[in-house]
Amino acid sequence: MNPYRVVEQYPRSFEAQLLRAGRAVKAPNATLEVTMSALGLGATAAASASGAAHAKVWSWYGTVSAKWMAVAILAASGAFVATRLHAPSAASVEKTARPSAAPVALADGPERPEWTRAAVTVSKATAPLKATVVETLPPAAPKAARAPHEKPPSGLESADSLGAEVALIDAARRAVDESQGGRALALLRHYDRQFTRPRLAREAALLRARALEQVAHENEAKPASASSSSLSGQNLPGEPQ
Amino acid sequence: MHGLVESMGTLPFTRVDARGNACPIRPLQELVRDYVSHVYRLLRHLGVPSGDLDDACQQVFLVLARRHATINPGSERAFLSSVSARIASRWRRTHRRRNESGNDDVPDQTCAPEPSPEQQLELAEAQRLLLQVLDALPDTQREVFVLFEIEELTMRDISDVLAIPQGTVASRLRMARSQFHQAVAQLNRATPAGRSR
Repeated sequence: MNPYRVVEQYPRSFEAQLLRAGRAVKAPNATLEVTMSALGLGATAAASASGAAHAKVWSWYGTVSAKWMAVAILAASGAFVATRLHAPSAASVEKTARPSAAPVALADGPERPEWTRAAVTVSKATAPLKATVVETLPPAAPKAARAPHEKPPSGLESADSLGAEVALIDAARRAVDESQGGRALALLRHYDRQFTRPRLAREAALLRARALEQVAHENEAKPASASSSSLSGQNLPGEPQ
Repeated sequence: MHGLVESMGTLPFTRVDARGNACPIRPLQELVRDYVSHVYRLLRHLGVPSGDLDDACQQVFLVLARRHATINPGSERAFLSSVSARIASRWRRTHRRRNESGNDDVPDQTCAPEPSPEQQLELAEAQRLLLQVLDALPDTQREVFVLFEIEELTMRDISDVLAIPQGTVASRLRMARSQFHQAVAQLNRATPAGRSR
């Protein structure tokens, strides 16, 4: 004979409200994913667990990317039309640049190839245009001067943080080697909090698995076996089966 | 008998339960998916600090992974409850030591489900208060209370999970309820939110 449950007996009480809130607690997706990966069930588990969420994200991503692709195509076609409008000047620059010495040397020769004749005539006709094109081109030097600013200036910083990462991972590894799983886990937790984009994430995951294994060894004991033997074949309330 | 052998032949991962029926062993992945919330909730209500919940969850399921082949089909939930209770008890002891040395834990607010922001806030606040009230219960009473009132296990199941007689379960539950009511009443008097309810 089971006694009453507070939630059913006094559903409107403050106690029942608190207990209902307790029943509503669910594990976050991150916990599921971390647990799955600790058990070596990582990728497929994560995919199936958060499948619906991923589908939503992908559909949203698909819509957004389609819009941006359309915008990019329009912009590209606009740029193409603009370049076509200035085609003579561009052609003259290219054609005169390619045979740099040839037009002068072969200008009056009888065995001059056909294409050089065309080049000479085009270059003569578009001489002022060429000058304007060259003037409007951006100078090369400022580009070279701007380049260092575009690179991240944090080479030293990243080296420092890598050093710190290595130090923490080494400490965790030492703890695992000394069979101090709990200490290793604490260090790895600290590592996770410290580095939002860790570069040694794989090493950390491996160490975490080893540390958890050590702690699980310690935990694996009597009550588990007692319950597994005594509860054989019983169905508990609320079970999915 | 012949049918049983045939069915076992067609199902490669089958075992025979206490009644002699062939039962397929559920894949570990499926068990983790189905029971992760149960384990998480239980660990949380049994006093595992929020920052350690992921690790504790992993430990529970690592034990499950080791014993997977030996657990009788249908008793996985009980097995997980038992392991969770034991791990939580160990964690509480460690945490108490840690608290004595000055490291306190920040209660997490991560469990709010989908409803409106106000409802989420209310729920998170209720969950926080519940943890506060549960913290006031002695460990042995807390285990029984959580398993009965929140996890909705029967007295008999709790007796099996905690390996204690049913009479002990009943007496602990009675005392736990009394303490719970007192703590809630105290909370009601102390907080303006409680008074307004």
